[in-house]
Formats: sequence, C-alpha cells, structure tokens
Amino acid sequence: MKLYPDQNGYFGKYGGQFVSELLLPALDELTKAYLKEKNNPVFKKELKDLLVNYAGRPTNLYYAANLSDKWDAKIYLKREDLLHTGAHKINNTLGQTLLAKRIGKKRIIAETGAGQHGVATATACSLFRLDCVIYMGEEDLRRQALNGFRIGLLGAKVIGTGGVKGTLRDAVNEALRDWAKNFDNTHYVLGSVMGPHPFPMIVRDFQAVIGHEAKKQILKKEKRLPDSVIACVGGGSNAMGIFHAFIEEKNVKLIGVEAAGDGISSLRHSATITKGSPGILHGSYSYLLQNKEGLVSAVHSISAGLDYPGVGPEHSYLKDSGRAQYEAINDDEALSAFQELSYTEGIIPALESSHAVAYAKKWIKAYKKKYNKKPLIIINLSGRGDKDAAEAQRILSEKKSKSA
Amino acid sequence: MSTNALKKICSLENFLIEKKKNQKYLFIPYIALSFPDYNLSFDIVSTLLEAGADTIELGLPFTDPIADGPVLQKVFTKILEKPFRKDDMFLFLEKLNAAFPDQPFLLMGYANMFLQSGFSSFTKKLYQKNIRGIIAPDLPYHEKIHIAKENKTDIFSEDMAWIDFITPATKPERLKKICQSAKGFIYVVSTKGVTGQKEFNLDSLRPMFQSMRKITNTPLMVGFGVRTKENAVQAIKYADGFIVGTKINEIILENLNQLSGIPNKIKLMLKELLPEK
Repeated sequence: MKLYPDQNGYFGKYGGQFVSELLLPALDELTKAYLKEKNNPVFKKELKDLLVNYAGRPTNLYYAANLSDKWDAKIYLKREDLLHTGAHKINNTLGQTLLAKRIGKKRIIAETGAGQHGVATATACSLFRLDCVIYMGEEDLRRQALNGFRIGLLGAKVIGTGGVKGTLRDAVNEALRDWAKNFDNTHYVLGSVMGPHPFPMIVRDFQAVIGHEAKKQILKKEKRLPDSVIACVGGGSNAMGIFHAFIEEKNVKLIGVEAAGDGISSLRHSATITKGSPGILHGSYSYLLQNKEGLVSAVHSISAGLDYPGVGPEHSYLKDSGRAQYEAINDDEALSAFQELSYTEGIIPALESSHAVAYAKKWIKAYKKKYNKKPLIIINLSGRGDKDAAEAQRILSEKKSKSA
Repeated sequence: MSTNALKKICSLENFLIEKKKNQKYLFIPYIALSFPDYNLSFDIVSTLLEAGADTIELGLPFTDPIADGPVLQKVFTKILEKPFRKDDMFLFLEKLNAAFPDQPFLLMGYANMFLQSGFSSFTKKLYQKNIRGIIAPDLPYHEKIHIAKENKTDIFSEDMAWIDFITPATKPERLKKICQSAKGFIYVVSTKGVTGQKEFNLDSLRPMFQSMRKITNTPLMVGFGVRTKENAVQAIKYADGFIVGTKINEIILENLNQLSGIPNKIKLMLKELLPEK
C-alpha cells in the first residue's frame, strides 16, 4: 500500500489545502518543521518521555471479562480513557505543543468540541508555559461546562463562539481566523485528523501510538491479531490512531462508528460518511454533510465530540478504498452502551466511545450468526465518561419522566 | 438578455484596464448577495454603481466562511436563516443584466459552492449572466491547478477570471508564479487575518508592490481593511484600486430596522470615503 498523504497533502483524492492564501505560509512552515522534527532523536526522546511519565503510556489493553461473557465474544478495551486528562487527545497535544515550542511559537490556540481537546491543549500549555486560547462553541460550553471550567483552571482562556447554537464547527472557524492573523507567534493545535494538510498527517502520526501499542499487546496476549478494531469517528483522530498500525493487516476489519443522533433518516445526526458526500470544509476535501446547494448542514449528536459535519480526509480514503467500513449508532443506543459498560465492567466510557461500544455489540451478533464462533475484537475506549455524567443524568431523568 | 450585450463585455481584465485609463483608480465594493433581501440588494447595487463602483463583488452566503470576519459571518448567518437557492441568485443576476447590460460583475463564493454545482457548468452559467470574475477565498492558486489536473478541465484558464490573492506573507517564488498567470485583477491582502481588519498601513509593503509591478500589468486591487479616505488614498498610491466590504455591510447590518434608508446611507458613507476619481 502506498504511503499517504502524498506530497501535496492528498489521501487519494481527499485532503488538500483549501484555505485562504494567508494561511499557506503557516502551513508550509509547519509541514517543514514537522518533517524535520519527526525523525529527530531529541524530539522523539522528549516526546516519548512525556507520553510515558506525564500522560501515562502505554495504556492497558484490558480484557473485559464480564462484557465478553455477556456478549459471548473476546472483547479487549484499549484504555485511552486512563490517560492524563481522560482521553486520547493528550497524545496529539503533547506532540504538537512540543513541536510548536521547538519552532519558537509563544502562543497556542485550539478548537474544542467536547472540551477534551481543549483541556488536553491547556494542560500541555501549562506544562510548557505557553499562552493558550481555546475556542469552544457556546452550546458545547453549556453541555460541557465542567471542561470549560477546567480549561480556565489550567491557565488558558476560553472564548465562546457561534452564539447559543455554537458547536465544534464554529470553534474551528474562529480558530482558523485567529491563526490567519497571528501565525507569526502562534501555533494552532488542531485536535483531529482533519483540516488542511499537514494536520491530518501530523495528528494521525501522533495518535498512531494507540494502534502500535494495541497490536503488540494483542499479539502478546492472544498470539493473534483481532478480527476487528472498532472506534468512534467524529473528526476521526482516535480511530485513525488505532487503525493506522492495522491498515496493512488485511484480515483485521477496521470499523469506524459515527453518530446517528436521532437516527440517520432524521435530519438530526452527524453520520458524515454514512450519509454525506464529498465536499470542501475547513480546509480539506472529504465527506461532508451538506445540502444540494453546497451549504454545510446543521448536525446533531448526544456527544459533543462527534457533533461535526465533516470527517478527516484519510477516513474518506479508507471508506472509498474499502479498507475500513463506517457505521452509525444513534443517541439512544449510545446512551444504553454508556450505561451497560458502566454497570457491567465498572468503566464509565465517554459518550463518544459509547458509540463504538454500542456498535461492537451489534457487530458481534452479526459475526456469530455468520461464522458461528466468537470473534476477538478491540474497542478503542477513547475517553472516560465523567465529563458526560451531568448531561447523561439530565437526559435519563427526562426519559424517565416521559415514560412515567 | 441578448447575446449582443454579452459580447459587448470583454474580459474582466480588459474592462478594468480600459476604465483605469480615464480615471485615477478602480473601486470594487463587496456586498452579500440577497441581503437583506433581493429587492434591496438591487437598490444597493444601483447605488454602488452610481457612486462610482467599477464592478461589484457579490458574495454567495456560506455556512462556514473561514476567510471572512465577524461582520460578514453575521450577514451570511442571517441570510441562511431562510433557505438559500442558487436559482434565485440567477434570477437576480438576470435582473441586474437587464438593468445594466454592459456591466460585468464578480461572484465571491467558498469553494464548496462551486464544487457542488460542478465547477465547469456553474462557471459557464455564471458567465452567461455577465459574471466575469470569481473570488473563491478558500481556493488558493495551487489547489486550482490540482483541481484542473484532476478533472482534466481548463476552466481556470478560460474566459472567466478566477481571482488570485497575494498577501504580505506570500513567498517570492509563489508571488512570481501567481503574478505571471493572474487574470482579471490580483487581490492584494493588506494585512494578515480575515476581512474587516482595523489596522491598515501599506508603506511596509512597498517592495512587494514594486516586485509585482515588474512582473505583471494585471490590475492590483487592495482589500481587507479599507475603511477611510486615508486608507483609500494610501491604497491607490501603491495599487490600481481597492475593495471595500465590511464597512458597507456594517451599514446594512446597523439599519435593518429602516431598510429603505440603507442605499442613501451607503451613498453618504462612500462620499466621505472615495477620493476624487
């Protein structure tokens, strides 16, 4: 398989740099700096040291015995939820912030949806003593108020965007504007495998540690590769992170799970690959939820981290090439999985990761029916659910009072 | 629309160069198409042409306008509270063509709006409606080349002028390439950032203007941050003219409760802003 992206930042036909002329020097500088640093032993050693001693890598590949019994399969959970700050996001923010520091940037900006990436960026900036501004949609600030507070506590400034309905896309719009103005001294820590080249490549590379570890761990424990690897997909960074090491292993099914919100036939979902078509948003050509005029759709998911109308270009490439498949799980199914993993295994997953758990249950059923044997699977548990507890409580009590 | 009228309008670049021969500078205002509504949009276009606009940049609304500032974002959001249809836009353009048969216009739109309508067919349709230049702020020079190559199309080198940008941070080798292939005019971004900037000073860009002049005769138009007569005077010292967007759209936004007064308010503002032609 060819190595992607190509030198123009394309994964097959997806990707590119659809940004204002103003941003190109910043993207060029970043590409050059990254390609130079990524093989620099000093940079590599420093990052590895941070990942081990500060973030808590490697994360466990945990055999979920209760769930395996219950669902009659062999289920491993890649425990990214155990990382410092509670999600896989820190892998990327430590990498990018270290890179920014090495190329002399004094100020860091980032967008955030669920707030996890904002917290992880603010954390890295606190560690490296860099000024930090986080853009967050105002609707997200409401449903993830705790993360908004945490970002402030870490010494970063949170700026609400997009008015009362503001979500991740508004935060991306605003962060891109800030960067266009301030790139001389500012690095934009993009939080997912999306946006203009080189971000989809850089974020994937920093997240690829998830899959490399998982592959080693499963081979050690089971002496074989899994039948499938399942991860949730919003922008798609945790999924790319765990998929990357398995792409060449053609017998491992790679499954990305998108948010179906109220259902994919409703108008309220974020199932970009499942229901979208290729288009240009936020600097890259990729699948997109849009109307026939080319306007980007309003989207919805119970989980702020998946509530986004676009997806990283490499996922679009994996979808078209058939190497990965993409499925969708609705709000109710995700919420049930959120509860089921909590009481079955004693692990409260993020609502984002709950989508992957929910689809795993369906996939196992189908697999057993087809092959009449237990599958071996890895679910990427990309984050922990503490941040979602208040929102889940609100929705569950609403449901209860409705049914009463 | 008669085809005769179509033929009368030559390329955007020749149109602008001819105009410039008889006047001190070129002036292009930028408004959001259909804001606050199509009728008023028509009156605003008329006002702008009377006030001395050489052509007008008509902005297609977009949901995620990453190259525009907060004022234009607000305008686009308001437009998109109602469904936006390109078919309505074409009817509006026909109305403009009937009223101003010799007048070429520019269309500003984000890349996805062109992509989804089919670059080639949409461009041809726009050309028939006297659109002679397209400004796609998220479609930089090298991606145009990429799209042309991928789609085996020549749309970017045909009669329609796809406007290129030069910014204070554009590298010399890229500046050279862009200047050599540019058509219509070159959009020179006065400062870093998005539209609606408050700072404006071109003196530090003198060397950049000089090197562009050496390479190309295509008109140079300064945009981003032209808000006062002082800015305008400075712009025409270095370039062939300037683009005013945010300042006009601010007036529209501030007067949504007295719509009929908007054209006159724009007229008065331009009287203050425009140097003697």
